[in-house]
Amino acid sequence: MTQIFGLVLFLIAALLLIVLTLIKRKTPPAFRDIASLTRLQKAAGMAVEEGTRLHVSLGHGSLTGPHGASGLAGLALLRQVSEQASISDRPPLASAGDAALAILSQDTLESAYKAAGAEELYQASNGRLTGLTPFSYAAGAMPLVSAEQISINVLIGDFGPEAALIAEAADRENALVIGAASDPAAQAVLFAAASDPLQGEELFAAPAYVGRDPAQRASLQVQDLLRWFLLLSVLAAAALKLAGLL
Amino acid sequence: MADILCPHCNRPNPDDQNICSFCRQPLHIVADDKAIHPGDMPTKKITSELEPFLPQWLRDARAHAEEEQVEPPAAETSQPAPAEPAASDWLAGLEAASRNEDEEELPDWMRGIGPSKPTPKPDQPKKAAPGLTRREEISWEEEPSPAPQPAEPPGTGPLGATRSEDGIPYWLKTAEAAAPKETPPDLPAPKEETTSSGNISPFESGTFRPNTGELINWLDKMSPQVGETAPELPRADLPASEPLPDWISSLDNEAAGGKETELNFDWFKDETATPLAAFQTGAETPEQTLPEETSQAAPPAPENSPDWLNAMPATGETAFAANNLPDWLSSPVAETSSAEPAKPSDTPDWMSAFAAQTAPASGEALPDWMKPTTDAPSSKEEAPSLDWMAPVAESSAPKEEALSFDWMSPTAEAATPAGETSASLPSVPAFLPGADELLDTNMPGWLSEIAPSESSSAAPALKTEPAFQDEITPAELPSWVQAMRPVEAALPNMPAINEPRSQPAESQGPLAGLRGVLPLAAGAFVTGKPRAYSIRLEPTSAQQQHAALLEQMLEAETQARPMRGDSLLPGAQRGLRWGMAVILVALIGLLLFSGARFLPLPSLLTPESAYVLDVMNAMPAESPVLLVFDYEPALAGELEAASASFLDYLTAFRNPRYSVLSTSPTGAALAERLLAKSQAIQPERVTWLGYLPGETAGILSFAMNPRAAKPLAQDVNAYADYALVLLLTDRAESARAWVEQTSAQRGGRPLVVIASAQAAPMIQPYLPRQVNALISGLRGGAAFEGATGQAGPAQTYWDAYNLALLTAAALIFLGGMWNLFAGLRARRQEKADA
Amino acid sequence: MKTRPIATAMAIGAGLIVLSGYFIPALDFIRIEMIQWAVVAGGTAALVGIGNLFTVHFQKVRRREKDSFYSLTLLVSMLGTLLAGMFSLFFNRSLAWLQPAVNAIIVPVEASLMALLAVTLLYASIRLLRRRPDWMSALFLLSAVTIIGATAILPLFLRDIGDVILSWMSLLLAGGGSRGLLMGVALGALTTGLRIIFGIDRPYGGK
Repeated sequence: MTQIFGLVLFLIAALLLIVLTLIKRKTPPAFRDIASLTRLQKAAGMAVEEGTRLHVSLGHGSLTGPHGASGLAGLALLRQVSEQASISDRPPLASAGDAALAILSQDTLESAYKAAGAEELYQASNGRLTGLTPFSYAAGAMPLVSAEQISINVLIGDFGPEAALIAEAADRENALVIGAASDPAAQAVLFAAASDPLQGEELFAAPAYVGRDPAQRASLQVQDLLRWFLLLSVLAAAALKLAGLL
Repeated sequence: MADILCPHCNRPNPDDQNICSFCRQPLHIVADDKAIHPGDMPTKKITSELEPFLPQWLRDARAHAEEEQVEPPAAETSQPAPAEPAASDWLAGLEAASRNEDEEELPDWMRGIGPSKPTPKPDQPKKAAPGLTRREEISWEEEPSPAPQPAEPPGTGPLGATRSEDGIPYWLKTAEAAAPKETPPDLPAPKEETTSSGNISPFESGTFRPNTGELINWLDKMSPQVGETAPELPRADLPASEPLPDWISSLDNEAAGGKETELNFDWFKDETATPLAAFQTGAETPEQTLPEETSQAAPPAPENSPDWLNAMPATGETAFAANNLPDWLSSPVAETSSAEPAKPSDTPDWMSAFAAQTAPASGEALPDWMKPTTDAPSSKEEAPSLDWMAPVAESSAPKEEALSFDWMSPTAEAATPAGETSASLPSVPAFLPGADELLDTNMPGWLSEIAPSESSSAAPALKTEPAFQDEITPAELPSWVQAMRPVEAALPNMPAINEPRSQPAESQGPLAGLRGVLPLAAGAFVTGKPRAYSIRLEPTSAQQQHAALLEQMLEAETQARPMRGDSLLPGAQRGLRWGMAVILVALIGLLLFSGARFLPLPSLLTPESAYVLDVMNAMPAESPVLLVFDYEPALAGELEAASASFLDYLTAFRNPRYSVLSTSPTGAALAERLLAKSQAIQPERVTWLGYLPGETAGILSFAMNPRAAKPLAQDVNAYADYALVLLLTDRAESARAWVEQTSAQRGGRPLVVIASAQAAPMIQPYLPRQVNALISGLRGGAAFEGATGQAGPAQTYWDAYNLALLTAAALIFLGGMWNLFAGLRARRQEKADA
Repeated sequence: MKTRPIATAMAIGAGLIVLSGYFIPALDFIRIEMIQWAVVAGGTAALVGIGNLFTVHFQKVRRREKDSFYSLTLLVSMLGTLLAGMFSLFFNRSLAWLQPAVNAIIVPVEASLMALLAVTLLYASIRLLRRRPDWMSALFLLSAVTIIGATAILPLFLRDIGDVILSWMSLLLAGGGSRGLLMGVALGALTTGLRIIFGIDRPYGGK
C-alpha cells in the first residue's frame, strides 16, 4: 500500500514537472516574495563590487542519505551565485562536510566559471572539505569565514545545530548569513543565529528564486501542488480515522 | 470721353478701363468685394478670374521664366522640391495671363526693363521645369545680356533696394550702361538697351526687370498717340537693339561735360521746345541751367525718341527744344509752381489725366526729371538736377523725400526739397503735372504706391508715398496680390496652417497677417546678435549639488562599510559572550566540583520511557542484542549519561550478548568509550561489527542479511534473531531510517531508542509500535536512574543541568526583554535623528 | 572526447534503476548492488576529500598565510592519526592506538564545541529581539523559555503539570510543526531527485 501510494505520487510529480517545464506561458508564475533570497541577489552583486568573497556552505549530508537532496539544492544555488560572482577579485568559496559533496562543489564551480567565460580563474581549492563530522566541519568552516574576507555566507544543505557556530562566526565579521537547512533543529538554531533564515522547504526554492530557471520554477509549482494534495489527504485520512473507517 | 474716378486714388481713368492706371485697383467695386487688410485670413480665390487684373509686367516675367526653364538654370541656387500643384495655384493665373498679348499695359520705357533677350511669344506654352515652383518661374534674376553690366549693387532684389549706394536708381544705371556713348564720368555707364523696346530699362541691373515694355514704351508712344482717345499700351515686342533714349543719354553728357549742351529733345520736337529736350542731348550739369529762351530752337528729336514726345508741341518758354512736348511737359518747365493742364489735343488721354490732375500750386507742373532747371522757380542759377537720379539724401532731406521716386510723380517738384540737387545731374522733377497718365494702368501697384506723396495742393496726383518709409500705413492689397496669397486649401500639408496659433503672424509683405504660411524651422531664424557663451565653466546650483553628491559617493567607496552591521559594538558583543560563558561555566563547574545534590531525581519514568522495563522483562536472558551507535562525539556526554544506567541495568538483568554496530565513522570509537566505562559489560560478550557505510542503504542491506553485511556476526543469521535493537542516536533521521528500513525484517522485535533531547520530539510519533521505548536525553536517563534506584552519571549532572537551564532561561528572558526595549529605543532615536 | 553526455546518461540510468528497484521487487538486487557501488564511490570520495583538505592546508602552510599554524597543526594531526591507525592495525590488528586520540582529542574538542554552541545559542536568543523585533521572534523566545522551564523547573515542583506541558508542547506543537516541515522537505527532495533523473539539474558539471 505504501509503495503503491509512493509510486502514484512519483508519477504525478514527474508528469507535472515535465508539463510545467515545457509549457510556455505568457506570464511567468508568481511566487511569494522571500526577502532573504532577494537580499541574497543584491548582496552577491555588492560582494563583487566590494571585492569580498561569497561563501556557500553545503552541510555534511551525504548524497546517499535522506538529506542528500538538500545538498543538491545547495549545489544548484552554488552554481548560480558563483557564476555571478566569478568575475570578482575574490572568487566564491564552497565548503562541505561530505567528501562527495566537496568534489561536486568543485565541479560546480568549474562549470560556473566556464559558463561565465572565466575558466582560467577557476581554482580547485575553492571547493573544500572542511571536516568529516558535523562539528569538525563547522570547526573548519569557522576560520574560513573569518580569514577569507567573506561578506556573504549562504548555509544551505543538511546541517545540525553546529550551523549556529558558523553563523556566529560570520556574525562576528558583520557578514550576511543566509541559512537554510533541512533539519528542524538546524532551522530552529538558524532562526536565532542567522540574519536571514529560511524556513522549511524554502531551501529548495532558493535556486528557483535566484536563478529563474524554468525547470526550477516548475519544480516549485509541483511542490505546491503536491503539498496541497498531501494536505487534503492528511485531512481526509484524519477524518476517516475519526469516523472509524480507517 | 468721360472719365471714371478711381474709388481708391480718386484719379480719373478712362471709362473703358477696369483697372486704375495709377493705383492698379479695380475701378468698379463689386458689392461683395472687400478690401484686404493686413491681418485678414486669406480667402480662397480662383486665380484664373484675377488674371485680367494682373499687370502685364508680371505676366511677362512669368512667361520669361517659363522660357528659361527649358534650359537648366545654372545660376540659380538650389530650390526646394517642387510644390504640389495645389500650392502653385496662386500663380496659375499669372502664367495664363503672361501669355496674353492683348493685355500689355506697361509703357514702352518700362517694357524695356525686362530681360535682354527678345521676348517673342513662345509657340507653345512653356511648362514649368520639374523641380521648380511657380515662384521660380518668374525670373527676377539678372538675365544674360550682351551689354556690359554696370556695377552690380549689392543686395538687390525684385523688391529690394532700388537705389544704389549713390542714390541712383538701378534701372537708370542699367539704362546708362546700355548706352555705349557719351558716358559721363560721374555717371555710371549707361546700360545698353537690350529690350525689345530699344530703351534702356531702369531695372536692367537685376533688381526688377519686368518682361514687358509697358513702362518703357509710354514715352515712345507719346507722339503717335497724341490725339488718340485711348492710350495705347506700349508693346513689349520692341526691338531690343534700340539704344538708350537720347533724353536719358543727354543727361549723362551734360553731367560729364559740364557744359551747357543743347538738349536734344528730338522726340519733343513736334510738341514743344521744352527743357525735356535737354535730356536727349546729354546730361546737364547742375551748373547749367535750362535755357530759358523760348526762341531757342528745340533740338531735333533723336531717332529713338518716344513718339509721344515727338508728338508733343513745343513751347517757347523753356530752353527745351522739344517742339513736341505736350502741355504737361511744356508748361511745368518754366513754371514750377503752376501746372497747366495739358491740352487734350496734344496729349494722350492717359497723359492728359496727368495734366488735368496735376496743378501744383507751387509750380510743380513738370516732374523734376523732365525739368532742365532746378526745382526752385526763382533760382535760375541752380542747375536742373535729376532728383530722381540724385543719391538718396543723407541728411539734408527728410527720409521720405530721399526715398521718393520723384520722377514718377507729377508733383515731384513740390515733394523734393529745394537744393536737393545732384552734383552731376540736373534737377528735373520726376513727374510733370498731369503726368499721372504717364503711369498707365499697367503700373504696378507697388510702383505707384512708392511715388512721392503729393503736396498740400488738392490736385490729385499719384501717390507720392515713398517706398521705403518706416511708418507705412497698411494698404489695401489689390486683388492680384490676394490671388497670390496662399490659402489653406493650397497648402494642406503645412502644419502651420493647421496650427496657425503656433506660428507668429507675418507683419509685412503680401503675407501680412497670415500665420504658418512659411514653415518655421526651430531655430532657423536667428535674430539679433548671437549669444556669447563664456568659456569658463559656470555650473548651476543643481550641478554643484550633483557634483558634491558624486564626490561623497566616491569617498564612500574607499571606506569599508559592513553589509550588515550590528547595533552593538564588537567589544560589547565579545563582553556579552564572555559574560554569559563565565556565568554558565562558573555555575556548572561549581555545582559539579562541589558535588552538591539538592535537587531530587525524577522518581517516575517519563511516558515515552515507561515501556522500557516491559521490554527488558520480556526479552530472554543472554539473547543477542544489537547496539547501534549513531551519534557524534559532540553529544557523547549526553548520550553516555542517558544510556549508561540503562545498559548497566540491562546487562545486570539479562546479560545479553552485544553486537556493536556503527553507522558513523566515529561510532565504533564512541562505543568502545562507552562500554569501557561500563563496569557491567564484559568485553568478551561484545562483538564489534564495525562501521556500516551507506547509511539508509547500509541499514537496509544489514537488515536483509546481517551475515552478508557483517561476516563477524555470530549465530545471527537474520535480523529477527536479535532480541533487542538498541539505537543510540543524536538525530531523528537515523532513528527514522532504522525504523523504516528494518520494520519488515524485525519480526516484532522491540526497538529501543536512546536519543538526544533534540531528536526526541521527532521520534516520539513512532511510539509505541515502531519504536517501543524512548529514553530522551539527560532527563530520561535521570528518570531511569530515579526509577530503578541506580546511580549513574545522570544523577551527577542533574543539579548542574537544571540550574544551568534555569539560568539560561532567565538570561534569555531578561536579556531578550532588555534588548527588545533597547532596540526600540535605538530605532526611535534613529528615526528622530533622521 | 565529451564526457558530459555520458555522465548525464549514467546519472539518469542509475537513478531510474534504483528508483524502480523500490517499486519492482525483481529489480531489488540491482538496486542493492548499485547502492553498494555508490557506497564504495563515496568512500573513495572521502579519500579524495581528505586529500583535498590536505592540499589546501599544505598550500596555506607553504605560503605562510594567516593562521597557517593551525593548518600545520591540522596536517600534523592528520598524518599522526593516519600513521597511528596504520600501525595499530598492522601491529594490533585493531584500532586500539586510535582510542586515546578519540578519548583525549576528538571527544573533548567536539564537546567543547558543543558547549560553545550552547553559549552561542544563548547569545543569539538574547539578541534575537534586538535584531528582528517581530512576533515570530517573540514566539520563539517564549516557546524556548517554556520548554526550558517545563524541563527544568516544573518537574521540581509540579511534576505532573510539567510532564503534561512538556508532552503537549513536544508532541503537539513541536512534533506537528516538525512533521509539516519534514513533509515539505520531502517534497522538495522528491522534485530535486526528479530533476536529477530527467537531467535537468546536473551537479556533476553540466551546463
